[in-house]
Amino acid sequence: MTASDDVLAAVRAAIGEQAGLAGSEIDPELPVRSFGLESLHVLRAVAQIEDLLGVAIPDDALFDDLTPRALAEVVVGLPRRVELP
Amino acid sequence: MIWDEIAREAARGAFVQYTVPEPGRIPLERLLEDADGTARAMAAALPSDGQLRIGLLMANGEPWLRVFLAATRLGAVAVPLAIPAGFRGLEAYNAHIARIAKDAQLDAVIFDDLVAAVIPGLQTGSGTTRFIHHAALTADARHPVLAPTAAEPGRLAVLQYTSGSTSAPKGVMLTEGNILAGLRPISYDTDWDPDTDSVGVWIPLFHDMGLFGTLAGLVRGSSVCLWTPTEFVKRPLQWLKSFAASQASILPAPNFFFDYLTAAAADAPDAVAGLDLGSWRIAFNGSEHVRWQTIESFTERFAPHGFRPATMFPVYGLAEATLPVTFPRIGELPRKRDMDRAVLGAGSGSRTVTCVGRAVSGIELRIDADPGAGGSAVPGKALVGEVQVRGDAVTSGYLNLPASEQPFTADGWLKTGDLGFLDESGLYITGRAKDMIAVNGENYYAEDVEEIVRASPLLDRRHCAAVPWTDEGGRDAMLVLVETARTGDDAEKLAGALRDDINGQLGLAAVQVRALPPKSLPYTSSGKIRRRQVLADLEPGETR
Repeated sequence: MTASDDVLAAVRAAIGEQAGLAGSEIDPELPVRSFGLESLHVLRAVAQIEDLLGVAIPDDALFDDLTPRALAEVVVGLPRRVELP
Repeated sequence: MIWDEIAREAARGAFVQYTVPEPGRIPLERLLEDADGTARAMAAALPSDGQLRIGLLMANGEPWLRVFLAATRLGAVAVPLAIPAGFRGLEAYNAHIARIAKDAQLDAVIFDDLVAAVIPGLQTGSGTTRFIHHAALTADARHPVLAPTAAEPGRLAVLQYTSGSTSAPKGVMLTEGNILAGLRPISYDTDWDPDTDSVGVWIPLFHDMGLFGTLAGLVRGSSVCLWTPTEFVKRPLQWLKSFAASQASILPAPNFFFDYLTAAAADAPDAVAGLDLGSWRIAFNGSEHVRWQTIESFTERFAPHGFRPATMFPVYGLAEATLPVTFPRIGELPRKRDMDRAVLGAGSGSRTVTCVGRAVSGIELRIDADPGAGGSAVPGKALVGEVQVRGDAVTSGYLNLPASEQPFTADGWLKTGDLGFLDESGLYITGRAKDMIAVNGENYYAEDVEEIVRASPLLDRRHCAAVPWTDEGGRDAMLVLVETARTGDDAEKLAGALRDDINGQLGLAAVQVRALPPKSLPYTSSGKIRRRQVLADLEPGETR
């Protein structure tokens, strides 16, 4: 499993939690907006990803119509505040 | 003038604290000096014989407030603009801003780093409007000193576009006089002490409650502490600690804020250990339907942390009246009434409604029980009808709309579009005659929902209706009725797919779609959906 698989799994799990679905049910190729999240829930998912992976996702990265995979790619490109155990 | 009132009180030594562009704190006097420099740069960059119209597209922070004050200093019109929502895509957003730029004839939009990446997309659709980064408006000794701007209470000062659907934004026109009249009761009706009270604001400054809540503090020379909505929403308990540490005593917020914190604290009780909310004097709960359950749960959850029951301050206000319409009295505990649904319109059983207080100083209020306005008179019980107001803080109308679309009665009262009744304690809002719901801080319009449904390739009929309704828990939701020849599972599938479309495109989760046989929905002879008739036809217990 590559680092980016870990990140994608974390992204899918966080979005799934807010959408009331399992991470495995979150299609990484569909736009995040298609999971019916209000802005509030989107930000909760983002905070969860940040806390888990030790990154700060810039607010403006979220203006795009991203898929979970694209969001994971954004995260992979960010500097990590802490190393994963 | 707003500027003069703030300048007069600035010597008290108030501060503005902010987190954008980076955490900082500036004396109000300094902020005014800086804003004067920004105003001079703005005048130099945008030579004009007329009154400038300046859009503000920035995160809550020092630049937003400074540019707003600069516009006020110049006697320009400030037009607060919403920043894009997450993962929604920018196509609809760009079109929305372009419509406002055109409607308001914006000379310029001042932006910050947050939205810098979306500016090229906005520029293409916004005609001659210039887009200027706030950092480009730096004070320069070569800019001529500005003459004082004459006090003109009738001068347009703010165009507030939060009241209107995405597809047809409406700009509420507010003059200097309207705004000063609207700000006054926020402090003078609340025992406000400028030296000890200070305001905390995380709600967007582009929203009426955020902007005028902030200005209410500044015109009294009180300190203001700004956060961004993102900071609160991402980490609510961390934000709450930061709020407590700021010792801000006054905080405006929508109803969902309180539910959100209650839930967050229930999930992580350890995270609130040691939290002290003792400085909190007034929690304005407004801009959404105020739920009694929210008040009870929040007060119970945070009482051990020093939150006093009378701090909860359920209020009613609207952009068309600058902001405040009704407030409770200071020190008064929140009140409620359990009303028969039959009295409120339809249905059975009872519903708890929260009292939002009495008309603030300078505002007159009446209930129009004309059935045409959604009203009903029940002898000996309550007179439910449209809430109508008038006063110096009330707008003269929406920009560029014909008289027939202005929100006034023939005798000049503002039609709020909200339904309610009065008793000896004050006003109770029971529902909405206008076709909008507010959920988690965002407004959703029936016409925007219908536009999405009509655009669906799955639909086999054109007729559909979106109606705001209140569910059993008193939460706002959108009910969508679509006509289809499909039946059984096929009809269910259609309903599910439309629901997903609305979820995805509007980000609205509180929606229920119901499939109806063809020719079920009532239309006027001119082909307009009769939303009120749709509501009246719903089964008991489903209407508000």
